[in-house]
Amino acid sequence: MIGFVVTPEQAQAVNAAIADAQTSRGMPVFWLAGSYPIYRGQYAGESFIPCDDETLATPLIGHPPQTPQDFPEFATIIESIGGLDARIDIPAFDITPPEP
Amino acid sequence: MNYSLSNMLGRRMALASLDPDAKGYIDAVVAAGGTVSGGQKSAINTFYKTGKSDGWYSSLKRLYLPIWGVAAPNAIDMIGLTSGTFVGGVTHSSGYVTGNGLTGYFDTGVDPVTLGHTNATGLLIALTYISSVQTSGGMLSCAELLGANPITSLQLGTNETVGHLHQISGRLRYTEPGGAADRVGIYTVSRTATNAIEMRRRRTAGAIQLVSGTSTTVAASTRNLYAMASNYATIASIFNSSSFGLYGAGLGMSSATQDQLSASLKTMWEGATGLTLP
Repeated sequence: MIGFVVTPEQAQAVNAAIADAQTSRGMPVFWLAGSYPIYRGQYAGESFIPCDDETLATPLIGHPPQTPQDFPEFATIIESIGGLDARIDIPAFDITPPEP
Repeated sequence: MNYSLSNMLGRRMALASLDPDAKGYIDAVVAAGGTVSGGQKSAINTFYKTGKSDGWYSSLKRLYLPIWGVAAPNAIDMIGLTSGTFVGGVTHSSGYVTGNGLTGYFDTGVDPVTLGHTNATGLLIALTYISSVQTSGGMLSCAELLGANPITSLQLGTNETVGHLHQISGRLRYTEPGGAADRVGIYTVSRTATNAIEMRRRRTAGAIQLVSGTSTTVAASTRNLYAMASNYATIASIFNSSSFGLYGAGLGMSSATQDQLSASLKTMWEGATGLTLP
């Protein structure tokens, strides 16, 4: 799982900024990167924001479709959590919620 | 000249006969970046018109048709034109969406109580086009607390399909004869009375009852329904990596009405995608 390991507060701020990028254009919030609690492993207690290449290429809106990287806010949001080079690969099991 | 005039008149007549709700949805899809062909317009228009003439349209409260290959139009509700939210890893293909089974899901933004679900009525719908062979995953689901009931969900279990509608026990389970990969088709789970719940499935071969039950109910959940995962008290869980052509919710329907609805959904989805339901 490739993405950012951040504090829960940072994860909330990133998703709020993504939501703002949509609502400020008069659009509903139809896409979020999401944030996921890390339950186990060396980052337990932190939050994970998925951000692999497929996420970055998600067709969001328009024809031809714009991706997250096409929004001017993208660079600012990514820089706020260390830039794309700060992404790490964590085991999927670490963010898998305990069995309900 | 005569051909051109006739062609123009034909187009105008087709446009004039577009159902207003169909037009509203199509306009919203186009505004969000979807490309809607004449054939797709016709398939969608027929769906709305059939639903209104058959009488089941008013029982639908949310219906999503994520076939457009783009997140914004895929998030639009065909009934109220509101938008849900895709979260995490979801692939938008032509004809369906696929969660990655780890982080991807769709938050409808609405809970069963708001939809009008009670302990005597409720309906969930999902079209699974390709079933992953994972052991379990939510198709359309929410629950009050992690590990606690009541649950409102269509869900895939190991080699089975599972339905709950505001139950504290007695979930409907149907063992798929072909195993996990056989969990495909248009599923409906409907409650029409406190002690009457039924799960049905339509494929190209026809519609059948998978299982019915008489379990009692509790109050419906106030958690948002998630597609491609389950919402356990706002924590997305049991993610589903199957491919979905539509999902929605509404009020309870008889067996015959569920079959009318699923037949129209099949016709619309196939007509709008060029794909064929197994």
